Amino acid sequence: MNRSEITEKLNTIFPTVFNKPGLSITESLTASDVDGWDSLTHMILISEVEKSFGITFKLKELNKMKNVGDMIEIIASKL
Amino acid sequence: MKAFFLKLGVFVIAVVALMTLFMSQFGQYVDYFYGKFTTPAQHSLITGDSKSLSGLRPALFDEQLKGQFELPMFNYSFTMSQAVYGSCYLESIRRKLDPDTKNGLFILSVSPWMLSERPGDEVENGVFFESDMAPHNMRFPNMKPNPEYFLRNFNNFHFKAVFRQASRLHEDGWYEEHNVPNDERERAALHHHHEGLFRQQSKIWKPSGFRMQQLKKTVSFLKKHGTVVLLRMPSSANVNRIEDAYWQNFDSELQQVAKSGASYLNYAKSYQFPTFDGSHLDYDTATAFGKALCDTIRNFPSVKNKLPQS
Amino acid sequence: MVFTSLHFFVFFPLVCVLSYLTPARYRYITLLVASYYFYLNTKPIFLLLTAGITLSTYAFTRLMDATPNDDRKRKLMWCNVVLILLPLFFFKYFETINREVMQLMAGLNLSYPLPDNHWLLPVGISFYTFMAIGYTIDVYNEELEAEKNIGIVALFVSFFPLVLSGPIERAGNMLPQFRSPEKLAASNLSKGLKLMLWGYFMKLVVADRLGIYIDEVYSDTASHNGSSYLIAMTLYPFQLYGDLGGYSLIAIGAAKAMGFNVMMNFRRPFFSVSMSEFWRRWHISLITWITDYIYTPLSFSFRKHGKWGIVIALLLAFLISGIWHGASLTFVAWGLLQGIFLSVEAYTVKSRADFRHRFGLGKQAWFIALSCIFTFSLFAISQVFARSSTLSESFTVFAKLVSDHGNPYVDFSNLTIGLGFLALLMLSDFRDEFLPGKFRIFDNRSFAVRFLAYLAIFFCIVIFGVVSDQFIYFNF
Repeated sequence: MNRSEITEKLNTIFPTVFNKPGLSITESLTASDVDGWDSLTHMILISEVEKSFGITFKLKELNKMKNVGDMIEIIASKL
Repeated sequence: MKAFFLKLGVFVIAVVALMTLFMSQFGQYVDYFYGKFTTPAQHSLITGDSKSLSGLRPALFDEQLKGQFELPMFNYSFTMSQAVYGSCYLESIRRKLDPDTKNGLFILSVSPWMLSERPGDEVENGVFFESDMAPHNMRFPNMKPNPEYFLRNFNNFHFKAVFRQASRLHEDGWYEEHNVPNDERERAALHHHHEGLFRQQSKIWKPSGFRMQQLKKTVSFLKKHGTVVLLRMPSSANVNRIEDAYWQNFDSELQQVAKSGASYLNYAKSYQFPTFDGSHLDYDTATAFGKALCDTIRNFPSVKNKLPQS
Repeated sequence: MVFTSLHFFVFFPLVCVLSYLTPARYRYITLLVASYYFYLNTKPIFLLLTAGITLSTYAFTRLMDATPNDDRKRKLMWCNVVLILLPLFFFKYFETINREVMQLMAGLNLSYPLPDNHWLLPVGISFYTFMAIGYTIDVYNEELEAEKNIGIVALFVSFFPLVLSGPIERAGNMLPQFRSPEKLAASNLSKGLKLMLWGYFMKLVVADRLGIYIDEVYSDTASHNGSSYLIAMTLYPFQLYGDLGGYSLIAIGAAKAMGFNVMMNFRRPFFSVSMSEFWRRWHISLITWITDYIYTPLSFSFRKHGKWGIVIALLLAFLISGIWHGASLTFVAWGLLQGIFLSVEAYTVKSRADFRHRFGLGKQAWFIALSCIFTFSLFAISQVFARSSTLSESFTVFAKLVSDHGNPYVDFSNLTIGLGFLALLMLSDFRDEFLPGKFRIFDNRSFAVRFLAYLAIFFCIVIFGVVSDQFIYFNF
């Protein structure tokens, strides 16, 4: 799966988790850009991402995700 | 950078100027003790706690005992929370006294509380609860203005007292309380409050042989400079009961101390001088009491037989 | 030494001058000496603790960096965390636990010979222990490289503006600044001094004035009625804000004046419309610390359980935060209550958003005001636990709140002063919240306005401030 495919898949997950139908993601998107993306919803997002890609993150990797781009990179490294 | 320091300098100057102005206008309302450290060394002293701080007016002594001692009198009393006899107070009295004094009058107001060991005391190790409070923490008690006081005792200042001006420290060290209630119910409440306080501390404090010993030393020291009076000021009957229960032999122990060169005058139960709160005299009672005290002192054989000084 | 002592007013300018006179490369040495002197002045023996925590943290982080083996790294990390937590447990919790266990044993007719521990809690220990733990975990997570200069680590653990009561800073922010500090700049000095001035105002004039009333009411549960407790309960969050918020500002300002940027600790907390927002504005350094090092790992390991996993993680995180504040059941109850509030909010996020949306309430001033008041009330109620000395005392207070009304106790002079200046503080917060950049006073364009404002606040502090050495958060 390449980066754009990952992005596409993420684009289906984000709007449902944050309850924002129009939300579309970019690599530079961070938590502070999205209303309702806080430490609580973050963990729900993570487990949704893990479920749909069939991967598990490590805590260390979680700490390294500073924006969506980082997330895509880490997902790509696991597929 | 330069501009910043210039502005900071102007600010500091403005603060200091305003502070000085404020203190010179209202200083006597703002701190009950500052004024005690701005006079020159003294010849005749009153020491003790708030009973003598507000109850013994030096001006009255100056008038009544004129010519018999090296006057004026200076009130070097504090409050019960810091005034206790001990090596600290003795040291402070030593500093406040003009060493050339030959015929001073020294009235040491005493009570069981001022000769007690309290929480924070470890007398056997030389640790005293009062050591970092005024006057015991002052190395230079005779300076005007007194920057040491600002540095060590800034906590004592309460500037907002300026608004009520409920009390005032006079230049002779007398503390004038304007806030004495006339209403019987208010007075009863004050009595009740003070009795509670004394009862409470009688549970925690204990009579101190060490402090008694130090009082004796204080007497021996002052005796070389004049006449020493140990004075127990009037209290209410209830307070007397608490004090008697707390320290049964207090009177006889003091008589013992007095043998080292002082006269002991016990007015504790002189109920013709009623207190307004259990242990303090109001202005009129204090004046009557002061006069009676002066009459007694004037009739001491040692004083009577002396020629009046010019 | 505390910030409100006169000693500090001599110490601080002196350290500023000395620090700027030292070449930047060696400035950490000057600051370290100053910090150790500062801490020494509280109780000399406690310096052994900071030094011990520094040594242990330095050694373990270096070892962690030296090993490529992840498992070994984890073990080293845990070793240090447990080791530096020991003194905290010993000083803070030993006595409580010991007492509880003894009571339990006595109930079972067993005597239990361990002596009571009446040692004083080393001031600031909860703060610098957390800072050192954060640094250790950051190194473990490879977010930071272990610092090779032990002097810098020592300064991080003992930096005098932060050592007594935070903000709980991160190594990632502080270490680079210690390595290459900023040059002397008028803007840093003036910003820092302004923050300090306002901090002293918040602490001495607002918090300590209100504190006199609150202390009086809470000191005598038997004789005060529910109306008095209602006033005390309402004022207590403001006192805490003035106290810790003010003290933090002094710390931040002092650091700023010396050229160091420290994170903000409070961001106008009383303008929060929900508890979760409140906790993003209140004691920020503690709550982000707990989020990063406790809540995130917990919720990460519970993530398979969906929302319930998050709820459990939240409850546990706030439970730990409660215990951090104090070793007593009252703080356990306080922490649990916060966890419950946040869990309920997390659970109802969607329905509440729908509700606001349907009636178009999100932007209505009255709705925002109501939400702020509601949030404040929840917090104020939960603080009754924190303020009471025992659980049964807090229940007595609650019982009085609902049943025992009457004329409240009024301490006219302290309440007038406290409330008057609280209004000033709230106005200033209101301006920063809703009208940023308008009605500037400390930053007014006119020098005369600024100058008079500084003078006015300075004399407010001198005249109306309560000059005391006590500070609520020291023993936490």
